[in-house]
Amino acid sequence: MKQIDIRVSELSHRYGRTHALKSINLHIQPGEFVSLVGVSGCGKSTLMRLIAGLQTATEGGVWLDGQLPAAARAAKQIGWMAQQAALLPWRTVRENVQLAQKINPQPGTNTPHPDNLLKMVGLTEFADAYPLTLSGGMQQRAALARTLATGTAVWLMDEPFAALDELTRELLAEELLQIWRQFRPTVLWITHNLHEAIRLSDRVVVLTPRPGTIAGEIAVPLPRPRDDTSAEFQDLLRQARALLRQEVVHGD
Amino acid sequence: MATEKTGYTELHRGDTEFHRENQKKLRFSSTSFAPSAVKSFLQRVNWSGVGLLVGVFGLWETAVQLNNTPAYLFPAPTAVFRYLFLHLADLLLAGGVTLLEAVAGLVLGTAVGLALAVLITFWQQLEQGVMSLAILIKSTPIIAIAPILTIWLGFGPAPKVIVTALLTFFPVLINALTGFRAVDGALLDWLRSLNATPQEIFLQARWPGARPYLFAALRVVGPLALIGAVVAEWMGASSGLGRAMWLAYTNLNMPALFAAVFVLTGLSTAVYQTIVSLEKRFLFWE
Repeated sequence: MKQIDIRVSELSHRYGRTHALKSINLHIQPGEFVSLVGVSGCGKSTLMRLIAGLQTATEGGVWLDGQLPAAARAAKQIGWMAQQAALLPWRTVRENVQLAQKINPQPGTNTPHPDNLLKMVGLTEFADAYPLTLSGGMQQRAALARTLATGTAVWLMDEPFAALDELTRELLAEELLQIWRQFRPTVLWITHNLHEAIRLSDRVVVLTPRPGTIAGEIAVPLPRPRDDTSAEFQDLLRQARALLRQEVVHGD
Repeated sequence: MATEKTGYTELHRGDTEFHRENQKKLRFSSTSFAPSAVKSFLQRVNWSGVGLLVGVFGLWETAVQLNNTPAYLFPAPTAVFRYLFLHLADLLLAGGVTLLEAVAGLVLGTAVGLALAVLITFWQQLEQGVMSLAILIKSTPIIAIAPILTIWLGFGPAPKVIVTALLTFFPVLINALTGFRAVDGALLDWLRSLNATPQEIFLQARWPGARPYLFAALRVVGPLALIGAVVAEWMGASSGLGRAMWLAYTNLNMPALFAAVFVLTGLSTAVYQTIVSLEKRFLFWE
Protein backbone atom coordinates (compact mmCIF):
# COMPACT_ATOMS: atom_id res chain seq x y z
CA MET A 1 0.00 0.00 0.00
CA LYS A 2 1.14 3.50 -0.79
CA GLN A 3 2.15 5.55 2.23
CA ILE A 4 0.95 9.09 2.55
CA ASP A 5 1.86 12.09 4.65
CA ILE A 6 -0.58 14.70 5.97
CA ARG A 7 0.41 18.35 5.97
CA VAL A 8 -1.71 20.98 7.68
CA SER A 9 -0.57 24.51 7.09
CA GLU A 10 -1.77 27.71 8.84
CA LEU A 11 -5.23 26.24 9.13
CA SER A 12 -7.94 28.41 10.69
CA HIS A 13 -11.65 27.83 10.83
CA ARG A 14 -14.58 29.90 12.06
CA TYR A 15 -18.23 29.01 12.59
CA GLY A 16 -19.88 32.39 12.34
CA ARG A 17 -18.22 34.41 15.08
CA THR A 18 -16.75 31.41 16.89
CA HIS A 19 -13.09 30.86 16.22
CA ALA A 20 -12.84 27.06 16.24
CA LEU A 21 -9.25 26.59 15.03
CA LYS A 22 -6.41 29.07 14.69
CA SER A 23 -3.14 28.73 12.78
CA ILE A 24 -2.74 24.97 13.03
CA ASN A 25 0.53 23.64 11.60
CA LEU A 26 1.01 19.92 11.66
CA HIS A 27 2.95 17.42 9.64
CA ILE A 28 2.28 13.73 10.02
CA GLN A 29 4.87 11.42 8.47
CA PRO A 30 3.88 8.52 6.23
CA GLY A 31 2.97 5.58 8.47
CA GLU A 32 3.08 7.65 11.64
CA PHE A 33 0.50 7.24 14.43
CA VAL A 34 -0.33 10.66 15.87
CA SER A 35 -2.81 11.31 18.66
CA LEU A 36 -4.59 14.61 18.97
CA VAL A 37 -5.56 15.33 22.57
CA GLY A 38 -7.70 18.11 23.93
CA VAL A 39 -10.70 18.84 26.11
CA SER A 40 -14.22 18.63 24.65
CA GLY A 41 -15.06 21.38 22.21
CA CYS A 42 -11.47 22.33 21.37
CA GLY A 43 -11.98 21.74 17.66
CA LYS A 44 -10.49 18.23 17.38
CA SER A 45 -13.39 16.94 15.32
CA THR A 46 -13.44 20.06 13.16
CA LEU A 47 -9.77 19.50 12.35
CA MET A 48 -10.50 15.93 11.34
CA ARG A 49 -13.39 16.97 9.11
CA LEU A 50 -11.17 19.58 7.47
CA ILE A 51 -8.46 17.00 6.79
CA ALA A 52 -11.01 14.67 5.23
CA GLY A 53 -12.39 17.54 3.19
CA LEU A 54 -15.91 17.14 4.59
CA GLN A 55 -15.67 20.84 5.40
CA THR A 56 -13.60 23.60 3.84
CA ALA A 57 -11.40 25.71 6.09
CA THR A 58 -11.82 29.47 6.34
CA GLU A 59 -8.06 29.91 5.92
CA GLY A 60 -5.05 27.74 5.29
CA GLY A 61 -4.86 24.35 3.71
CA VAL A 62 -4.55 20.60 4.02
CA TRP A 63 -2.52 18.33 1.76
CA LEU A 64 -2.44 14.57 1.74
CA ASP A 65 0.56 13.33 -0.21
CA GLY A 66 0.66 16.79 -1.76
CA GLN A 67 -2.94 16.62 -2.92
CA LEU A 68 -6.09 18.35 -1.71
CA PRO A 69 -8.46 16.32 0.50
CA ALA A 70 -11.02 16.06 -2.30
CA ALA A 71 -8.47 14.30 -4.50
CA ALA A 72 -7.51 11.96 -1.67
CA ARG A 73 -11.18 11.08 -1.15
CA ALA A 74 -11.66 10.55 -4.87
CA ALA A 75 -8.68 8.15 -4.81
CA LYS A 76 -10.29 6.47 -1.78
CA GLN A 77 -7.26 7.01 0.42
CA ILE A 78 -9.13 8.15 3.53
CA GLY A 79 -10.46 5.71 6.12
CA TRP A 80 -12.95 7.31 8.47
CA MET A 81 -14.06 6.05 11.87
CA ALA A 82 -16.09 8.01 14.36
CA GLN A 83 -17.58 7.48 17.78
CA GLN A 84 -20.72 6.00 16.25
CA ALA A 85 -20.02 2.90 14.20
CA ALA A 86 -22.36 4.31 11.51
CA LEU A 87 -23.14 0.91 10.01
CA LEU A 88 -26.15 0.57 7.76
CA PRO A 89 -28.73 -1.25 9.91
CA TRP A 90 -30.46 -2.84 6.90
CA ARG A 91 -27.28 -4.57 5.75
CA THR A 92 -25.58 -7.50 7.42
CA VAL A 93 -22.06 -7.07 8.76
CA ARG A 94 -20.61 -8.67 5.63
CA GLU A 95 -22.79 -6.52 3.36
CA ASN A 96 -21.63 -3.42 5.24
CA VAL A 97 -18.02 -4.32 4.54
CA GLN A 98 -18.83 -5.08 0.90
CA LEU A 99 -20.52 -1.71 0.52
CA ALA A 100 -17.30 0.07 1.42
CA GLN A 101 -15.70 -1.67 -1.57
CA LYS A 102 -18.66 -1.11 -3.86
CA ILE A 103 -18.82 2.65 -3.40
CA ASN A 104 -16.35 4.61 -5.54
CA PRO A 105 -14.44 1.50 -6.70
CA GLN A 106 -10.81 2.01 -7.67
CA PRO A 107 -9.93 0.00 -10.79
CA GLY A 108 -6.71 -1.93 -10.62
CA THR A 109 -6.51 -2.21 -6.84
CA ASN A 110 -6.75 -5.48 -4.99
CA THR A 111 -9.47 -5.35 -2.37
CA PRO A 112 -9.28 -7.90 0.44
CA HIS A 113 -12.10 -10.39 0.78
CA PRO A 114 -14.68 -9.25 3.38
CA ASP A 115 -14.60 -12.61 5.17
CA ASN A 116 -10.84 -12.34 5.71
CA LEU A 117 -11.30 -8.90 7.20
CA LEU A 118 -14.08 -10.10 9.48
CA LYS A 119 -11.80 -12.89 10.60
CA MET A 120 -9.12 -10.33 11.37
CA VAL A 121 -11.44 -8.39 13.68
CA GLY A 122 -12.95 -11.55 15.16
CA LEU A 123 -16.42 -11.28 13.64
CA THR A 124 -16.49 -14.41 11.47
CA GLU A 125 -19.46 -15.83 13.36
CA PHE A 126 -21.39 -12.59 13.01
CA ALA A 127 -20.89 -12.02 9.26
CA ASP A 128 -24.59 -12.55 8.57
CA ALA A 129 -25.87 -10.67 11.62
CA TYR A 130 -27.55 -7.28 11.39
CA PRO A 131 -25.64 -4.49 13.17
CA LEU A 132 -28.37 -3.59 15.65
CA THR A 133 -28.22 -7.11 17.09
CA LEU A 134 -24.51 -6.61 17.98
CA SER A 135 -22.94 -4.97 21.02
CA GLY A 136 -21.27 -1.57 20.71
CA GLY A 137 -17.83 -3.18 20.71
CA MET A 138 -18.73 -5.61 17.94
CA GLN A 139 -20.24 -2.76 15.91
CA GLN A 140 -16.94 -0.91 16.12
CA ARG A 141 -15.10 -4.09 15.11
CA ALA A 142 -17.32 -4.21 12.03
CA ALA A 143 -16.58 -0.54 11.37
CA LEU A 144 -12.87 -1.32 11.61
CA ALA A 145 -13.23 -4.18 9.12
CA ARG A 146 -15.02 -1.76 6.84
CA THR A 147 -12.17 0.74 7.14
CA LEU A 148 -9.69 -2.00 6.24
CA ALA A 149 -11.88 -3.09 3.32
CA THR A 150 -10.82 -0.20 1.14
CA GLY A 151 -7.13 -0.56 1.98
CA THR A 152 -6.92 3.11 2.84
CA ALA A 153 -3.58 4.75 3.44
CA VAL A 154 -4.85 7.30 5.96
CA TRP A 155 -6.97 6.55 9.01
CA LEU A 156 -8.86 9.46 10.52
CA MET A 157 -10.28 8.22 13.79
CA ASP A 158 -12.43 10.43 15.97
CA GLU A 159 -12.68 8.67 19.33
CA PRO A 160 -13.92 5.47 17.74
CA PHE A 161 -13.96 3.54 21.03
CA ALA A 162 -15.05 6.36 23.33
CA ALA A 163 -18.56 5.01 23.81
CA LEU A 164 -17.32 1.56 24.88
CA ASP A 165 -16.55 0.30 28.35
CA GLU A 166 -12.98 0.57 29.65
CA LEU A 167 -12.03 -3.06 29.12
CA THR A 168 -13.45 -3.44 25.61
CA ARG A 169 -11.87 -0.15 24.70
CA GLU A 170 -8.41 -1.26 25.81
CA LEU A 171 -8.75 -4.60 24.06
CA LEU A 172 -9.94 -3.06 20.79
CA ALA A 173 -7.18 -0.44 20.87
CA GLU A 174 -4.62 -3.23 21.24
CA GLU A 175 -6.05 -5.13 18.28
CA LEU A 176 -6.19 -1.96 16.24
CA LEU A 177 -2.54 -1.35 17.00
CA GLN A 178 -1.62 -4.82 15.76
CA ILE A 179 -3.52 -4.27 12.53
CA TRP A 180 -1.88 -0.88 12.15
CA ARG A 181 1.60 -2.43 12.50
CA GLN A 182 0.66 -4.88 9.78
CA PHE A 183 -0.53 -2.29 7.24
CA ARG A 184 1.21 0.86 8.48
CA PRO A 185 -1.32 3.49 7.45
CA THR A 186 -0.85 7.10 8.56
CA VAL A 187 -3.13 7.60 11.56
CA LEU A 188 -4.64 10.67 13.15
CA TRP A 189 -6.22 9.44 16.37
CA ILE A 190 -8.45 11.85 18.28
CA THR A 191 -9.02 11.27 21.96
CA HIS A 192 -9.41 13.05 25.27
CA ASN A 193 -7.74 10.16 27.07
CA LEU A 194 -4.04 10.90 27.64
CA HIS A 195 -3.23 7.41 28.80
CA GLU A 196 -4.65 5.94 25.60
CA ALA A 197 -2.79 8.51 23.49
CA ILE A 198 0.58 7.62 25.01
CA ARG A 199 -0.07 3.90 24.88
CA LEU A 200 -0.91 3.96 21.17
CA SER A 201 0.88 6.71 19.34
CA ASP A 202 4.30 7.80 18.10
CA ARG A 203 3.51 11.40 18.91
CA VAL A 204 0.91 13.18 21.05
CA VAL A 205 -0.27 16.64 19.96
CA VAL A 206 -2.07 18.71 22.58
CA LEU A 207 -4.73 21.14 21.43
CA THR A 208 -5.95 24.17 23.42
CA PRO A 209 -9.63 25.09 23.55
CA ARG A 210 -11.30 28.14 21.93
CA PRO A 211 -9.67 28.84 19.59
CA GLY A 212 -8.00 25.51 18.98
CA THR A 213 -4.24 25.95 18.67
CA ILE A 214 -1.42 23.50 19.16
CA ALA A 215 -0.09 23.89 22.68
CA GLY A 216 2.77 21.50 22.24
CA GLU A 217 3.63 17.96 21.36
CA ILE A 218 5.27 15.03 23.03
CA ALA A 219 7.19 12.33 21.19
CA VAL A 220 6.67 8.82 22.54
CA PRO A 221 9.88 6.88 21.77
CA LEU A 222 8.85 3.77 23.72
CA PRO A 223 8.83 0.38 21.98
CA ARG A 224 5.48 -1.42 21.62
CA PRO A 225 3.79 -3.13 23.37
CA ARG A 226 4.14 -0.49 26.06
CA ASP A 227 4.18 -1.05 29.75
CA ASP A 228 2.07 1.68 31.28
CA THR A 229 3.58 1.07 34.73
CA SER A 230 7.11 1.88 33.58
CA ALA A 231 8.79 5.06 34.79
CA GLU A 232 9.19 6.40 31.23
CA PHE A 233 5.50 5.93 30.50
CA GLN A 234 4.49 7.64 33.72
CA ASP A 235 6.88 10.49 33.03
CA LEU A 236 5.42 11.08 29.56
CA LEU A 237 1.93 10.93 31.03
CA ARG A 238 2.90 13.56 33.61
CA GLN A 239 4.36 15.84 30.92
CA ALA A 240 1.30 15.57 28.74
CA ARG A 241 -1.06 16.16 31.64
CA ALA A 242 0.86 19.26 32.70
CA LEU A 243 0.68 20.61 29.16
CA LEU A 244 -3.04 19.94 28.87
CA ARG A 245 -3.87 21.28 32.35
CA GLN A 246 -1.92 24.48 31.81
CA GLU A 247 -3.81 25.15 28.61
CA VAL A 248 -7.22 24.40 30.09
CA VAL A 249 -6.54 26.80 32.98
CA HIS A 250 -5.31 29.46 30.53
CA GLY A 251 -8.33 28.92 28.32
CA ASP A 252 -10.70 29.57 31.21
CA MET B 1 -70.39 -3.49 51.66
CA ALA B 2 -69.40 -6.86 53.05
CA THR B 3 -72.56 -8.52 51.76
CA GLU B 4 -72.10 -6.93 48.39
CA LYS B 5 -68.63 -8.29 48.27
CA THR B 6 -69.78 -11.83 49.11
CA GLY B 7 -72.52 -11.47 46.55
CA TYR B 8 -69.98 -10.50 43.95
CA THR B 9 -67.71 -13.35 44.91
CA GLU B 10 -70.60 -15.79 44.69
CA LEU B 11 -71.44 -14.51 41.26
CA HIS B 12 -67.85 -14.60 40.24
CA ARG B 13 -67.38 -18.15 41.47
CA GLY B 14 -70.35 -19.12 39.33
CA ASP B 15 -68.62 -17.48 36.39
CA THR B 16 -65.36 -19.27 36.97
CA GLU B 17 -67.08 -22.61 37.19
CA PHE B 18 -68.91 -21.90 33.98
CA HIS B 19 -65.65 -20.83 32.41
CA ARG B 20 -63.90 -23.95 33.63
CA GLU B 21 -66.65 -26.12 32.13
CA ASN B 22 -66.26 -24.32 28.85
CA GLN B 23 -62.52 -24.68 28.96
CA LYS B 24 -62.94 -28.42 29.43
CA LYS B 25 -65.25 -28.63 26.46
CA LEU B 26 -62.91 -26.52 24.39
CA ARG B 27 -59.89 -28.56 25.35
CA PHE B 28 -61.79 -31.74 24.55
CA SER B 29 -62.87 -30.48 21.15
CA SER B 30 -59.51 -29.00 20.27
CA THR B 31 -57.57 -32.14 21.07
CA SER B 32 -59.94 -34.50 19.34
CA PHE B 33 -61.14 -32.58 16.27
CA ALA B 34 -59.26 -29.39 15.59
CA PRO B 35 -56.08 -29.67 13.57
CA SER B 36 -53.18 -27.46 14.60
CA ALA B 37 -54.00 -24.81 11.96
CA VAL B 38 -57.42 -24.21 13.52
CA LYS B 39 -55.87 -24.21 16.96
CA SER B 40 -53.30 -21.61 16.03
CA PHE B 41 -56.04 -19.54 14.39
CA LEU B 42 -58.07 -19.71 17.59
CA GLN B 43 -55.04 -18.57 19.53
CA ARG B 44 -54.38 -15.69 17.19
CA VAL B 45 -57.93 -14.31 17.22
CA ASN B 46 -58.24 -11.15 19.26
CA TRP B 47 -60.95 -12.44 21.60
CA SER B 48 -61.30 -9.21 23.57
CA GLY B 49 -61.98 -7.37 20.32
CA VAL B 50 -64.54 -9.96 19.25
CA GLY B 51 -66.18 -9.74 22.67
CA LEU B 52 -66.39 -5.97 22.50
CA LEU B 53 -67.92 -6.10 19.02
CA VAL B 54 -70.52 -8.66 20.06
CA GLY B 55 -71.31 -6.55 23.14
CA VAL B 56 -71.83 -3.38 21.11
CA PHE B 57 -74.07 -5.16 18.60
CA GLY B 58 -76.03 -6.75 21.46
CA LEU B 59 -76.67 -3.40 23.13
CA TRP B 60 -77.57 -1.80 19.80
CA GLU B 61 -80.01 -4.60 18.98
CA THR B 62 -81.63 -4.43 22.43
CA ALA B 63 -81.95 -0.64 22.32
CA VAL B 64 -83.58 -0.67 18.88
CA GLN B 65 -85.96 -3.51 19.81
CA LEU B 66 -86.99 -1.98 23.16
CA ASN B 67 -87.46 1.46 21.64
CA ASN B 68 -89.27 0.21 18.54
CA THR B 69 -87.10 2.49 16.42
CA PRO B 70 -88.27 2.37 12.80
CA ALA B 71 -85.76 0.83 10.39
CA TYR B 72 -85.68 3.95 8.16
CA LEU B 73 -84.18 5.90 11.08
CA PHE B 74 -81.93 3.40 12.77
CA PRO B 75 -81.94 -0.24 11.73
CA ALA B 76 -81.14 -3.04 14.17
CA PRO B 77 -77.93 -4.98 13.46
CA THR B 78 -80.00 -8.04 12.54
CA ALA B 79 -81.74 -6.00 9.82
CA VAL B 80 -78.39 -4.76 8.54
CA PHE B 81 -76.89 -8.25 8.51
CA ARG B 82 -80.00 -9.65 6.82
CA TYR B 83 -79.57 -7.09 4.05
CA LEU B 84 -75.85 -7.80 3.95
CA PHE B 85 -76.32 -11.53 3.39
CA LEU B 86 -79.19 -11.14 0.93
CA HIS B 87 -77.16 -8.73 -1.22
CA LEU B 88 -73.71 -10.06 -0.45
CA ALA B 89 -72.65 -10.50 -4.10
CA ASP B 90 -73.72 -6.97 -5.07
CA LEU B 91 -72.08 -5.41 -2.03
CA LEU B 92 -68.84 -7.31 -2.52
CA LEU B 93 -68.77 -6.35 -6.19
CA ALA B 94 -69.32 -2.70 -5.26
CA GLY B 95 -66.67 -3.02 -2.57
CA GLY B 96 -64.26 -4.53 -5.08
CA VAL B 97 -64.76 -1.62 -7.48
CA THR B 98 -64.21 0.92 -4.69
CA LEU B 99 -61.17 -0.97 -3.41
CA LEU B 100 -59.61 -1.05 -6.88
CA GLU B 101 -60.18 2.68 -7.33
CA ALA B 102 -58.80 3.40 -3.87
CA VAL B 103 -55.69 1.26 -4.37
CA ALA B 104 -55.06 2.76 -7.82
CA GLY B 105 -55.40 6.25 -6.33
CA LEU B 106 -53.19 5.30 -3.40
CA VAL B 107 -50.48 3.99 -5.71
CA LEU B 108 -50.68 7.11 -7.87
CA GLY B 109 -50.72 9.47 -4.88
CA THR B 110 -47.82 7.66 -3.22
CA ALA B 111 -45.83 7.67 -6.46
CA VAL B 112 -46.40 11.40 -6.97
CA GLY B 113 -45.62 12.20 -3.30
CA LEU B 114 -42.43 10.12 -3.43
CA ALA B 115 -41.35 11.58 -6.75
CA LEU B 116 -41.76 15.13 -5.45
CA ALA B 117 -39.86 14.29 -2.26
CA VAL B 118 -36.98 12.82 -4.29
CA LEU B 119 -36.98 15.86 -6.56
CA ILE B 120 -36.74 18.24 -3.58
CA THR B 121 -34.03 16.11 -1.95
CA PHE B 122 -31.81 16.37 -5.02
CA TRP B 123 -32.69 19.93 -6.03
CA GLN B 124 -33.33 21.86 -2.86
CA GLN B 125 -34.05 25.07 -4.74
CA LEU B 126 -37.31 23.47 -5.96
CA GLU B 127 -38.60 23.10 -2.41
CA GLN B 128 -40.45 26.40 -2.05
CA GLY B 129 -42.20 26.16 -5.38
CA VAL B 130 -43.20 22.50 -5.06
CA MET B 131 -44.32 22.87 -1.47
CA SER B 132 -46.47 25.97 -2.15
CA LEU B 133 -48.21 24.15 -4.97
CA ALA B 134 -48.65 21.01 -2.86
CA ILE B 135 -50.13 22.99 0.03
CA LEU B 136 -52.45 24.81 -2.37
CA ILE B 137 -53.76 21.50 -3.74
CA LYS B 138 -53.96 19.97 -0.30
CA SER B 139 -55.92 22.96 1.04
CA THR B 140 -58.60 22.84 -1.67
CA PRO B 141 -61.54 20.88 -0.19
CA ILE B 142 -61.73 17.55 -1.98
CA ILE B 143 -65.52 17.71 -1.80
CA ALA B 144 -65.34 20.77 -4.10
CA ILE B 145 -62.99 19.15 -6.61
CA ALA B 146 -64.80 15.83 -6.88
CA PRO B 147 -67.93 17.08 -8.77
CA ILE B 148 -65.77 19.09 -11.19
CA LEU B 149 -63.71 16.01 -12.00
CA THR B 150 -66.88 13.96 -12.43
CA ILE B 151 -68.24 16.50 -14.93
CA TRP B 152 -64.97 16.48 -16.84
CA LEU B 153 -64.14 12.79 -16.73
CA GLY B 154 -67.50 11.05 -16.44
CA PHE B 155 -68.92 8.35 -14.18
CA GLY B 156 -66.01 5.92 -14.67
CA PRO B 157 -63.13 5.21 -12.30
CA ALA B 158 -60.84 8.05 -13.51
CA PRO B 159 -62.17 10.86 -11.28
CA LYS B 160 -62.17 8.52 -8.24
CA VAL B 161 -58.57 7.58 -8.77
CA ILE B 162 -57.59 11.23 -9.14
CA VAL B 163 -59.52 12.35 -6.04
CA THR B 164 -57.89 9.56 -4.02
CA ALA B 165 -54.46 10.49 -5.32
CA LEU B 166 -55.05 14.15 -4.43
CA LEU B 167 -56.02 13.11 -0.92
CA THR B 168 -53.05 10.80 -0.39
CA PHE B 169 -50.02 12.41 -2.00
CA PHE B 170 -49.45 15.10 0.63
CA PRO B 171 -48.79 12.99 3.76
CA VAL B 172 -46.50 10.77 1.67
CA LEU B 173 -44.61 13.82 0.36
CA ILE B 174 -44.12 15.28 3.84
CA ASN B 175 -43.09 12.03 5.51
CA ALA B 176 -40.81 10.89 2.70
CA LEU B 177 -39.06 14.26 2.66
CA THR B 178 -38.62 14.16 6.44
CA GLY B 179 -37.28 10.61 6.16
CA PHE B 180 -34.84 11.43 3.36
CA ARG B 181 -33.46 14.26 5.48
CA ALA B 182 -33.38 12.38 8.78
CA VAL B 183 -30.38 10.31 7.71
CA ASP B 184 -27.83 9.86 10.49
CA GLY B 185 -25.04 12.46 10.33
CA ALA B 186 -22.32 9.91 11.18
CA LEU B 187 -23.50 7.70 8.32
CA LEU B 188 -23.45 10.66 5.95
CA ASP B 189 -19.89 11.56 7.03
CA TRP B 190 -18.71 8.01 6.41
CA LEU B 191 -20.30 7.86 2.95
CA ARG B 192 -18.81 11.24 2.04
CA SER B 193 -15.36 10.16 3.25
CA LEU B 194 -15.55 7.46 0.55
CA ASN B 195 -16.52 10.09 -2.00
CA ALA B 196 -19.97 8.56 -2.50
CA THR B 197 -22.10 10.37 -5.08
CA PRO B 198 -25.41 11.97 -4.04
CA GLN B 199 -27.14 9.13 -5.91
CA GLU B 200 -25.22 6.50 -3.92
CA ILE B 201 -25.97 8.32 -0.67
CA PHE B 202 -29.64 8.37 -1.64
CA LEU B 203 -29.83 4.69 -2.58
CA GLN B 204 -27.74 3.37 0.31
CA ALA B 205 -28.78 5.63 3.17
CA ARG B 206 -31.65 8.03 2.50
CA TRP B 207 -34.05 5.66 0.76
CA PRO B 208 -33.81 2.68 3.17
CA GLY B 209 -33.69 5.06 6.13
CA ALA B 210 -36.90 6.78 5.03
CA ARG B 211 -38.89 3.55 4.98
CA PRO B 212 -40.19 3.85 8.57
CA TYR B 213 -41.42 7.37 7.76
CA LEU B 214 -43.01 6.17 4.55
CA PHE B 215 -44.89 3.38 6.28
CA ALA B 216 -46.11 5.78 8.97
CA ALA B 217 -47.62 7.86 6.14
CA LEU B 218 -49.13 4.79 4.45
CA ARG B 219 -50.87 3.75 7.67
CA VAL B 220 -52.64 7.10 7.68
CA VAL B 221 -53.23 7.32 3.97
CA GLY B 222 -54.37 3.71 3.34
CA PRO B 223 -57.80 4.01 5.00
CA LEU B 224 -58.02 7.61 3.74
CA ALA B 225 -57.81 6.31 0.17
CA LEU B 226 -61.10 4.42 0.59
CA ILE B 227 -62.77 7.57 1.88
CA GLY B 228 -61.49 9.45 -1.16
CA ALA B 229 -62.89 6.86 -3.54
CA VAL B 230 -66.30 6.75 -1.78
CA VAL B 231 -66.61 10.55 -1.68
CA ALA B 232 -65.86 10.70 -5.38
CA GLU B 233 -68.45 8.00 -6.04
CA TRP B 234 -71.11 9.99 -4.19
CA MET B 235 -70.64 12.72 -6.79
CA GLY B 236 -71.76 10.36 -9.51
CA ALA B 237 -70.67 6.86 -10.35
CA SER B 238 -71.83 3.87 -12.35
CA SER B 239 -70.72 1.42 -9.66
CA GLY B 240 -68.99 1.18 -6.27
CA LEU B 241 -69.84 1.40 -2.59
CA GLY B 242 -70.31 5.17 -2.76
CA ARG B 243 -72.96 4.72 -5.41
CA ALA B 244 -74.62 1.97 -3.36
CA MET B 245 -74.65 4.31 -0.38
CA TRP B 246 -76.04 7.16 -2.41
CA LEU B 247 -78.84 4.94 -3.78
CA ALA B 248 -79.67 3.69 -0.29
CA TYR B 249 -79.64 7.23 1.00
CA THR B 250 -82.03 8.57 -1.64
CA ASN B 251 -84.41 5.65 -0.98
CA LEU B 252 -84.06 5.99 2.81
CA ASN B 253 -83.01 2.33 2.80
CA MET B 254 -81.10 2.47 6.06
CA PRO B 255 -80.23 -1.24 6.33
CA ALA B 256 -78.63 -1.00 2.88
CA LEU B 257 -76.73 2.15 3.87
CA PHE B 258 -75.44 0.52 7.05
CA ALA B 259 -74.53 -2.66 5.20
CA ALA B 260 -72.41 -0.60 2.79
CA VAL B 261 -70.77 1.14 5.74
CA PHE B 262 -69.94 -2.25 7.28
CA VAL B 263 -68.33 -3.44 4.05
CA LEU B 264 -66.36 -0.20 3.84
CA THR B 265 -65.14 -0.61 7.43
CA GLY B 266 -64.08 -4.18 6.67
CA LEU B 267 -62.15 -3.07 3.59
CA SER B 268 -60.52 -0.23 5.48
CA THR B 269 -59.34 -2.60 8.21
CA ALA B 270 -58.01 -5.01 5.59
CA VAL B 271 -56.06 -2.23 3.85
CA TYR B 272 -54.58 -1.10 7.16
CA GLN B 273 -53.58 -4.62 8.16
CA THR B 274 -51.97 -5.23 4.77
CA ILE B 275 -49.84 -2.11 5.22
CA VAL B 276 -48.87 -3.20 8.75
CA SER B 277 -47.76 -6.64 7.55
CA LEU B 278 -45.81 -5.10 4.65
CA GLU B 279 -44.16 -2.79 7.15
CA LYS B 280 -43.05 -5.75 9.26
CA ARG B 281 -41.48 -7.34 6.22
CA PHE B 282 -39.69 -4.23 4.99
CA LEU B 283 -38.48 -2.95 8.36
CA PHE B 284 -36.92 -6.23 9.42
CA TRP B 285 -33.92 -4.58 11.06
CA GLU B 286 -35.90 -2.70 13.70
